[in-house]
Amino acid sequence: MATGAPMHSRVEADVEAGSDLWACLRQVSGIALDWYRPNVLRRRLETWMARQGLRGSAELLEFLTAYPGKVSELIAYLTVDFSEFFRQRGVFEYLRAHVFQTWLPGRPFRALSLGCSRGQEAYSLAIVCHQVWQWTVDWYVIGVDIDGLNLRQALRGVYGARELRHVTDDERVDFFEPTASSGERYRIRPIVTQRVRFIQGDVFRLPVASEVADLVLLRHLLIFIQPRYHDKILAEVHRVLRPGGRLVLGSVERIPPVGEAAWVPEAPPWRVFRKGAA
Amino acid sequence: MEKKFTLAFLLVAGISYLVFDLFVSRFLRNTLPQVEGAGPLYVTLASLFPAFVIVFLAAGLGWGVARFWLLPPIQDLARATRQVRDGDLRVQIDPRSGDEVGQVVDSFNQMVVELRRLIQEIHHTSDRLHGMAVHLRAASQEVSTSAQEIANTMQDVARGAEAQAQRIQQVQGLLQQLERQTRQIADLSQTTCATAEASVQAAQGGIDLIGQLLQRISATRESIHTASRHVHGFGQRALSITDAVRHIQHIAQQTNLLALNATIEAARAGEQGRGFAVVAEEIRKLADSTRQLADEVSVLANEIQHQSQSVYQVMEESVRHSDESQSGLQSSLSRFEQIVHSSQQTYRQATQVVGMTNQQLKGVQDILEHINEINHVAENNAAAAEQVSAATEEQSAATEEHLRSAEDMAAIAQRLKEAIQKFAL
Repeated sequence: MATGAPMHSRVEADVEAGSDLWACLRQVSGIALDWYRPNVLRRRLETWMARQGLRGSAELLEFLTAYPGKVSELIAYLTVDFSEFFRQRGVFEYLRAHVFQTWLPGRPFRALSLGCSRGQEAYSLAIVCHQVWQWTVDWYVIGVDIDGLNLRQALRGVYGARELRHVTDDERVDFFEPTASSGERYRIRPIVTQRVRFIQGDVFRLPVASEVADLVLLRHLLIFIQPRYHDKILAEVHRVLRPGGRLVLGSVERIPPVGEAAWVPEAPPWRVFRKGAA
Repeated sequence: MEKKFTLAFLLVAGISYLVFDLFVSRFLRNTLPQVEGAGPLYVTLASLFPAFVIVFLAAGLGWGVARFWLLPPIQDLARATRQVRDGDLRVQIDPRSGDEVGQVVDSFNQMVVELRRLIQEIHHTSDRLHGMAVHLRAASQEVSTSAQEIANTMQDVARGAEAQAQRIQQVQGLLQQLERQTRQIADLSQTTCATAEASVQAAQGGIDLIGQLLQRISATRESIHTASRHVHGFGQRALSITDAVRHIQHIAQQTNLLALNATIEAARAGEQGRGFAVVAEEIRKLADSTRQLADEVSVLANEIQHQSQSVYQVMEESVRHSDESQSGLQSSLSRFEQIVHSSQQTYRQATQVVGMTNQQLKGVQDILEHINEINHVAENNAAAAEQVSAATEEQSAATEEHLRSAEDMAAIAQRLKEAIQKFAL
C-alpha cells in the first residue's frame, strides 16, 4: 500500500529548507531551538518576519543584531503558548478522586507543571489541592517554563475571562478577584499563589532534585518537540519522580515504545502513568 | 503383554532345557569321551555346540513370537502416527485387543479425533483472524490517510490563522494611526478655539481702543474747533487792530501835518518860535516814528491776520481730517466688529469640531479596543491551531504504528493459515 513517505522523514526534509534561519537564530540569541518541531517554528518565524517586514535570513540577522531586545520577543513568539485553567477537566477530576482524595494526610505532596506557560495549569492544580486538603497536607506546586516573560506574567497572575471558561462560578468567586481594568480580567488570589513557585528552566535538565515529585504534568509539550528527543525528556521526568509517582501526558501524547518498560499505564483515557522500574 | 513374554520365555527355556537335558547333553556325555582323540577342550566345545543350537532356536522362537504376535499392533500404531505426522488426520486404527497396546491405540484414536477438531477450529479462527486483520489494516490505512489529511489541513489552518493574526495586527496599526491623527485634529481644533478666543479678545481690545481713539478725536476736534474759533477771533481782532492802526496812522499823519504847520508857524514867529519849532520838529519826528510803528504794526497785524487765516484754514483742514479719520475709524470699528463676529463664529464652529472629533476619537478608541480583543483571540486561535496541528501530527504517527501492527497481524494470520495448510481434514 502506498502511504507516501512516513510523517517524520517529511518533516525532517522541511528542517533542511529552513536550516539557515535556525543557524541565524542560534547565532544571535544563543538559544538553539533544534528540539522544537520544525514546521511549527518555521510558520511562526515566517509570520513574525512578515510582521516586521523582513525577508530572508540576512535581513533577520541584521534586524536582531541591531535590536537585541527583540530577540527575547521573537523567542517568546516562536514557542506556542496556549493554555487555560482546568484544561480537560476530566483529568483533574480523575486526579481529584484517585490521587488527592486518597492521599494520606501525613505525607507531603509535591507537584510539577512542566511547560507551565503563564501558570494556568500550576494554579489549577493548586486550586484542587486547596479544595481537597486546605492546609491539612504539606503541599506545593512548582511550575517550570523556558520563557522568562511567561513566568513574570504567571507571577502577576492576571487572566482574561476566556482562560477561565472551564472554571466553575463558585471557584471563580473563591479563587479569583476581578481587576479594575477594562474588559473582564481576573487576578488569582494569594491563597492560591502562596504555595506555587515558578522556576525558569528547560525540560531536558529540570532544575529539581531526583525523586522529589509525586505528580508531574507534561501536557501538550511533547507534541511540539521532535520525537527523537522524547526519550530524553521522559527519562528526566522519571528521574525527578518518586517511586510510584505519576506522570500525566496530553490527550494525544504517548510514551514512545523504547521507554514503555519504565512506565505503567494507570488510566489510559486520561494519559496517567505510574513510575515503574527504570 | 507381560503374560505373552513370560509365556514365551517359559516355553523357550523349558523346551531348551528339556531338549538339552534329555537328548543332547546325555548323548554328548555318552558319545564324546569314546571318540578318539576327544580331549577335554573338544568335549567342552562339542557340548557347547548343541547349546548354541538351542539358543539359536530359542532366539528364533522368541523373534517369531515378537514379530508375529507382539509387533503388528505397534507397527500399525507407528504407521498411523507417521500418517498423522504427514498430515492425514482421518486415520483410525482397529485396537484388536484390550491390553495396554490396545489402550494406546484407543487413546491414539481419540487423540487424532481431538487433533482434527482442534485443527479445524484453528482453521476457522485463522480465517476469521486473517479477515479481521485485513479489515483492520484497511481501516488503519483509512485512518492514517485521514489523519494525514487532517494534519495537512490543520497546517493550512495554522498558516491561515497566523496570516489572519498578522492582518489584524496591520489593521490595529492603521487604527492606531487613525487615532493619532484624530487626536491631532482634536488638538488643532482646540488650538483654533483658543486662537478664536484670542482673536475675539484682541478685536474687542481693538474696538475699545478705537472707541477711545474716536472719543479722543472727538475731543481733539472739539478743541480744534474751539481753537479755530479763537483763531478766528484772533483774525477779527487783527482786523480791529488794523482798523485801529489805520486810525493811528491817520492820527500820525494828521499829527505830522500839524507838526509841519506848527513848524511853519514857528518859522513865522521868528526867534520866539524857535523853541516851538524844535518842539514841533520833535512832534513831527514822533509822528513819523508813530507812523512807522503804526505801519509796522499794520504789517504785523496783516501778517497776524493772514497767519490766523492760514492757521484757521489749517485748523479747518485738521477738523476735516479728523472728521475723515473719524469716519475711517468708524469703518475700522465696524470691521473690527465684523472680526469679533466671525471670530465668535469660528470659536463656535471650532468648539463643534472639537466635540465631533472627540466623539470620533472615542469611537476609534472603542474600535481599537475591539480590535485588540480580536487580536488576542486571533493570536490565541493561531496558537491553538498550532497545537491542534502538532497534536494531529502526533496522532498521525501513532496511527501509522497501528497500521504496522495491523499489517503484522495480517502476516501472522497468513503464516498460521499456511502452517495448517498441510493438514488433511
